[in-house]
Amino acid sequence: MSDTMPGKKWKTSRTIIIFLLLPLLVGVAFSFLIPRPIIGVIRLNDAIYFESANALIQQIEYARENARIRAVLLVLNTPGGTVVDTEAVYLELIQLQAQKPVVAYVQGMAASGGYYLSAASNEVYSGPSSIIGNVGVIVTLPEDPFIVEDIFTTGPYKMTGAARDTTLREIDVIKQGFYQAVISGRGERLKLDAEGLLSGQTWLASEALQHGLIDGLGSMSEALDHTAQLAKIGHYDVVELQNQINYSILYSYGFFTETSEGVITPFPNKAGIYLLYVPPSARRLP
Amino acid sequence: MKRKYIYIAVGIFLLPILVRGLWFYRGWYRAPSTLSAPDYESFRMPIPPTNSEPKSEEITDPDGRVVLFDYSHYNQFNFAELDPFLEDLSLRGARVEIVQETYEPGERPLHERLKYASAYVVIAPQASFSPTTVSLVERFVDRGGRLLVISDPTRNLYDYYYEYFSESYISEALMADSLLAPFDISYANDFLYNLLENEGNFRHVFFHQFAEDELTDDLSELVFYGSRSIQTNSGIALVTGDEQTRSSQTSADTDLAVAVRSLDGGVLAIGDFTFLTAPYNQVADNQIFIDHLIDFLLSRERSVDLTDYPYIFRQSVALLKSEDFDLTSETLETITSIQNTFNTRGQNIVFTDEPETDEDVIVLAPFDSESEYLDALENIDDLVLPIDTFENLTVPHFGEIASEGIGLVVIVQEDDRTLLFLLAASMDDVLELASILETDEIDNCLVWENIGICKAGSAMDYDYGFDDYDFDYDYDFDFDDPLLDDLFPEEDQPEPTPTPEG
Repeated sequence: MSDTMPGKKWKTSRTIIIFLLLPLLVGVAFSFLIPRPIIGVIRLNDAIYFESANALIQQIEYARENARIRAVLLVLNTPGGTVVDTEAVYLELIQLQAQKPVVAYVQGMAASGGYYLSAASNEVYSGPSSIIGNVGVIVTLPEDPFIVEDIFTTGPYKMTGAARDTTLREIDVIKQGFYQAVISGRGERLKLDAEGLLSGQTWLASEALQHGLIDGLGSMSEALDHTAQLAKIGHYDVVELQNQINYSILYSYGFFTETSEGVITPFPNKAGIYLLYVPPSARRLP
Repeated sequence: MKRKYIYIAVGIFLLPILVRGLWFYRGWYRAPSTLSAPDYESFRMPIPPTNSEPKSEEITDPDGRVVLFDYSHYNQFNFAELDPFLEDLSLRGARVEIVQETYEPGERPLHERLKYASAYVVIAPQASFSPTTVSLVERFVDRGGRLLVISDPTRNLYDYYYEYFSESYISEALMADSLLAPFDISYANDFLYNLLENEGNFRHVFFHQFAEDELTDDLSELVFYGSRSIQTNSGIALVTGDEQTRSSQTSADTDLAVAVRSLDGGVLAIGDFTFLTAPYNQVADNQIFIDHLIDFLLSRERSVDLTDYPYIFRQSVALLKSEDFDLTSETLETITSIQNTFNTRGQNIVFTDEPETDEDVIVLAPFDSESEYLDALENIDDLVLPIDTFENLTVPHFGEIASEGIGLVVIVQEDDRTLLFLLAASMDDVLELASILETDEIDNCLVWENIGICKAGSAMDYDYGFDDYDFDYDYDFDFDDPLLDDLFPEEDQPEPTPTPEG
């Protein structure tokens, strides 16, 4: 009997070990193969121009290719920038957004091209007093075509690129793209009509919320929570994607004009067509 | 039994995996189907409407009316920009004169030019108008002259200091307002825009609403390229924006006017300059409107009065050689001087006893002249000329006045010509009065409409009623006359003080 009991106990223990503990341990071990999801944070604290746009595009590509990154929070503080660079980043975000949720969080300003980028996100959140909007295009017209004695060209607009009137009409095409991007991105949430949207006005985030330009006010943590909800993840890591790519830029030096005293101004350093907000106060001496 | 254990084992194996999976992942993301990139390929550049009628090449009204362009208030435009407009004016027979800030030698000041001009055009001034100039222009308009004021929000004086990134900005609307205030017209310091329907840009606004007026005949669409709104209480808003046209000052829906005509029709204010320039003058019905503007500028029904002197003549002038006129060295000097003055002004003058019917005439005559030309004065009410030297002269507005020492200047407008009378008591006085023809100055006369009274000759030449006193002009002054001692008693002279030399 005593031989039987230990044998039975052992048998029971062995059964528990084999069919309960071992699967549990193996299951626990295997469960660690399930990665903790990541919300990638892409920050833009600059104008949108060649360098900053390249950095953004690399981060977007990284997020798209990395399976652990389940969503992206785009943190914006930008007055916009060049048309081509803004559109390039926008199109990359559209592709990313088809795979993973993208939420924009405005931490300061998402004006002009900055708001263009936010139009590629699922939702837009903002701090209460951030500046939102300024939908439109700004251009300095080229000079009237001219000829000089010592310079020959093969066409009248070779030196100026286009007639002034043509350039003026071209920006309307760019405006149409911007407008369609916002309409597409905001959909029925947008409460402004075309006239209001294209007025070029900037709004405080609280006003922008009423106009349907953004989805909510709050902190960046709350924006992260909204991002997680969209991505349908419960617990996650937050990773700054800037640190994941091998690309660094010098802050603003490539875009804004710098005075001889070293002051960086809000004016682009060359003529062109921009999706840019230049604050009026910046045009006056302090 | 064993199979049961296997199921349990599998379940227990999966449990932590499931728990961890659900701990992190609650579902799958599904991208919204609505979000897509814009269809960039479908966007097209807006094309301007070019249905304006070609401008007339005919010379339609070659009567040489003068249009003055102000260039004395730092006006923010270049005459090269106005070439198409100036060409149109020229085709219509108008003569353009530029009123500069500083007068070149021989150049006439504004108050002189307004005497003969048909219209005064002010474009984008950057200096305010003095009260004197405003009064001059007001009077010019009162008397049929046309005033066209053009403001343009793109023509503000804008200085930008790159070194400091600072700017200074002066709106020319305020300057234009200083001239328009008496006519109940003022510009807003704004710009108009239409975000929904525009000519390539929000600030290029279509206008389809026109008040009934000769200036808006046949207009169906105008395009203004950066325009200001204009306010008036009594005037007529000729061109107004539709519901979608907004002012940069307020987004309230109002009928914003960009062209306003004053109540009496003499003043026209427009809120855009660009539409006058190429190629924008050829867009929509802009050229038709420009043609109407030229009609407006040349349509002055000018009423001439004496204050317009010397610009009262429109054709060759005949200085009448009447029977009262003896050709002496003095009269010859006066006549040649008058001739020189007229020639300097570019006006022909002949001395003749038989003026042509298409010549304006200057009549120099005494009050009692029997020249048939004085018959023209009979139609002037309350004008009574003295028959002899001792009678008084009765002049409308001035009443009865002594005729001696007084010259009378009268303009009479006949159908085809202008008659200018210079009358005085004697021919000597008439010659003295004629000095106004030599100097072009009539400032020393009292003028009321077409009549002026001036000093001519000396009243001392005439009898002042001292008949009982015998003036002896050959009186030989006698310093020993005791009468002088009474009149001027000698004062005691102080004794001279001796000097050391004695």
